[in-house]
Amino acid sequence: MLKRAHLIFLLILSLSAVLAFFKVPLASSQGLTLIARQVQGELPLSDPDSPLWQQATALEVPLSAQNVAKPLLLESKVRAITARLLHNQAQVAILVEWSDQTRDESTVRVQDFRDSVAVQFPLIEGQPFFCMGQQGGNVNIWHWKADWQADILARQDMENAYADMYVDQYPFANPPPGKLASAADYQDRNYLPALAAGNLFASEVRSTPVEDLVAGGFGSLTTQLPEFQNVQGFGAWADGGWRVIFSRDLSSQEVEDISFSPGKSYSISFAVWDGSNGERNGQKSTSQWVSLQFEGAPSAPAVAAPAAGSEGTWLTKERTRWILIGAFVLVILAGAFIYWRLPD
Amino acid sequence: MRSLPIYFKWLALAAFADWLVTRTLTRMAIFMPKPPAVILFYQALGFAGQAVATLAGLLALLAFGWMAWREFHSAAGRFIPAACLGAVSFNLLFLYKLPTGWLAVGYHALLLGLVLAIGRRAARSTVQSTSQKMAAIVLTLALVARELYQITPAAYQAARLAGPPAFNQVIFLSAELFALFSLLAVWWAYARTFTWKTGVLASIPALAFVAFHLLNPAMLGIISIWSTGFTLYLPWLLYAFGVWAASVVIFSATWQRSPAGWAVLLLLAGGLAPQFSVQAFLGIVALWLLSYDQNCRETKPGTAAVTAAAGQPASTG
Repeated sequence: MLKRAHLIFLLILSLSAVLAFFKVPLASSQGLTLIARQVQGELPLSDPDSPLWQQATALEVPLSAQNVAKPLLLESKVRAITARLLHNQAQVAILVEWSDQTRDESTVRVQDFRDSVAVQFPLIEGQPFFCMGQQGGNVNIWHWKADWQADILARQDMENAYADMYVDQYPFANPPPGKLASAADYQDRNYLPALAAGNLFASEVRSTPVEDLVAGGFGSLTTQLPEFQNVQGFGAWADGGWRVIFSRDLSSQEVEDISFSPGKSYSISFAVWDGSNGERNGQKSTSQWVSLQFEGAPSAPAVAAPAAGSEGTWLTKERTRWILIGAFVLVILAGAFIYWRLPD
Repeated sequence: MRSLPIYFKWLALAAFADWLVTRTLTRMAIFMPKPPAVILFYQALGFAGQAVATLAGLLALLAFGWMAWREFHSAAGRFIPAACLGAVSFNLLFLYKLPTGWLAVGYHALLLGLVLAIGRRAARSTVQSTSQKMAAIVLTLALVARELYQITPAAYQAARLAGPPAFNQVIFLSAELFALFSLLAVWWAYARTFTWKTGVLASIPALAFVAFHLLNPAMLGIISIWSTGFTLYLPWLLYAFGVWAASVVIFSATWQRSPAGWAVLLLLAGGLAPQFSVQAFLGIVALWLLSYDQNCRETKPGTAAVTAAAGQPASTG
């Protein structure tokens, strides 16, 4: 026999199903939020000691070893980073700090790995999988690399690691005897295929220590084209720790880039590699998604033009939703009426 | 227990199912190869998880409403019902506005006050045994540390201090310590005398934990953080004992019809570092359930003996 308790359960169950179907949330975020403070004037794009950074509250973000996809990192050396954000309505700057007793900024020898840090933003509404996104849920990744930072001052090559090395000869190039061949020594660039193909790793001059990438799941990490590399960076190691600044214009016209607006909320996550621990590729320490809120008044939204073909269609998606919700309210009212007629 | 509405039981089961599906099983899927059949299965599991998470959220809000109503009609004062309704109001507000600034501080302060008020009442109970009061106090400490961990950075943000607070990691680790001890304290208070069948049944999840630890401690750590928020920084034997103790309470309480089992399920489902407001509410409902028998005695003297007896374990009755 139907009792009141059964009816209540059915009503709650059906209400839950409707809320889940229409993706109406009932729980708000409880996690920590990183605030991008709005400041006036120039941002400290290459000065981690600037007092302007003290206007942004640092958030400590815990990291854990990447144990999801091979190659795994079994034990993380970097357990947390602190992050601060500033923006001036034109540019955004992110300062990431973490403790690292060794300064690893060379990958010339095969046994050497660099220190590096990456920040990641979803390119969809909501939060895709926090490790490199997922199919249908791309992420934009900014990857700062210590060796790229060192390359800006002076491009590192084998001579830096092995000062007494001697080269017999290079085919198709004529460097001075015993010296390494530089790109300028090649008259035909096709003998330097990576450089000819525009591979960032082979570029003669580094303009930024940050690689701008896009990913949509494991194994899908893709470098954006050289002309779309628009993230700047600066890193400095001192007193057993790195301080790295990422910077970019707030908005970007590129579809594989995140665009920010004052007053809006986003998600951000972090990854750190400790070179002296042999960390590279998937062997890294990662964070979960962290809410990111940009200070400032949001700009007025553009008025959306009506979709083509929507004119003359009475049963729009919005109306269908309200009809369904109305029907559900009627069911609730009918249930409430039946409730009073049933025994306890 | 008899005077508790049936939807507290539904809440415990729905929250447990939500935890098991959305925060444990679906997250373990990333370790598996994924032929199309597995993907389809996990898509169905994901939708079921969303539905059961919504159900748990709805029931948690209802439970807070019922707690407010129940407390309003008791002699315990007006703070607890007001705080319950305030927490629900904040939750609904934060669906549309990101919890930042002093609003976030106020929300966490309200939850902190609610935890302290319920814990204080449990500690001053004249109905509960000393071990039951101790269990409620240790759980209160765990929840207080958990809230402090969230309110401190929120206060730094609101006050525009540079931060980060240096002691926040200590607070988090304290919360983990108290949370683990609260499981042991609840076991001692409510289920330290148990049948051999219960002991054997409870050993299964504990042994699974031990096997997982011995085979792949790193992966166990990841799953533990994703699933419950525990970082496993304490000796692993303590956690294994905690899993066993929690299982004994759940099995014993199920057979003795004591709300202590629901409370442990809610604590597991809420986790140590709640990502969502509803998960934070679950821990508070658990604490309230552990002090529930006292409510009955204070407000309904005629029915208190029946209710209190229903909530007493064999060991303490």
